[in-house]
Amino acid sequence: MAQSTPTSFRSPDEQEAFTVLVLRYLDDDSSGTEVQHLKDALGGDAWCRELFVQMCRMHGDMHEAFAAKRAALQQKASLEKTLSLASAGARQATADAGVAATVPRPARASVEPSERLDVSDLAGDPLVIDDGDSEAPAGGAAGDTVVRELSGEDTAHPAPKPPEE
Amino acid sequence: MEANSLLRLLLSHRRMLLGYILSIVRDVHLSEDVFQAASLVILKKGPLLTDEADFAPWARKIVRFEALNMARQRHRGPELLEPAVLDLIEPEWGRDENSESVRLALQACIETLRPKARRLIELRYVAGFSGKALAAKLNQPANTIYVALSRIYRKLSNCVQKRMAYEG
Repeated sequence: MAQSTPTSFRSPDEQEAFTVLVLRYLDDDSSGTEVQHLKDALGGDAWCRELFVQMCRMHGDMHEAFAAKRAALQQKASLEKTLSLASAGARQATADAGVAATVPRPARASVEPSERLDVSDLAGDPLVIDDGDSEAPAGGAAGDTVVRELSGEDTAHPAPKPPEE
Repeated sequence: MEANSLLRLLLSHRRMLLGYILSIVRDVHLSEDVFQAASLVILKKGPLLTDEADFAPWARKIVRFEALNMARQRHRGPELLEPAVLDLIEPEWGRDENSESVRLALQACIETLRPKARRLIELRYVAGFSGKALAAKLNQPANTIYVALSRIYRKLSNCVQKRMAYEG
């Protein structure tokens, strides 16, 4: 994470738009047009290069910051899979012996561990976001409220807006 | 340079190198593979290095070669960061930073996030959901998730900068 402030040269909206472009790129979720746009920006704008590296550093830092928690969760998922396989093996052995299986079947035995990493496995209650209009565009009022809630802004007591010209 | 010094430098630059690798391969698991492969090369060729100040740019060259190589092998594309773009960005990676101070500051700043923001970040970095997967999971448009993430990043970045400035 760079310690300089590229934000000081551009508006928050410009910074946000470019950050979203970089995040989509890092997720390998960019369209061909977006990739070209990013490429042009990096090639022709020092501010974009600075912010790009800042984002990549942050991305790597965040992965490292949560590495221990991620490993613990994967270990838990792996343990659950082992237990479910052992349980299935016990059932099979019982069936082979001609005895009615009494071992209860795990609810999601066929699901891979990574798919079973649920929101509720993480700290706190499940993240429920329902503004009644999930199709609302991100730029709309409902979408904006969701974004502010997700990013941890105080939507109950929003900061006062500057008076319009 | 001695093996002990090399190992110390490698570990102290690990986070920067991981960020650099991620910017090329865009895959967490692949980035770990690249880091491991590059580490072997660094430890093997490191004795030729004489000055610690040369370590970071030299290590990035090795990491870049391994990352592009593995990305090609895994047929990942489009390969945005071709050599010309990487060369342009290189000076930014060379900016000095106190890696351990940044790590501690980031850790403290993560603790200050509001619960929903914290959970969104954990879903991304603990459960491993991409922005697109988060959007599906939370039944929101992908752009909503990416914008929320970008604001969280900005908050964390500002928080880290303030803490670093305060510490001097």
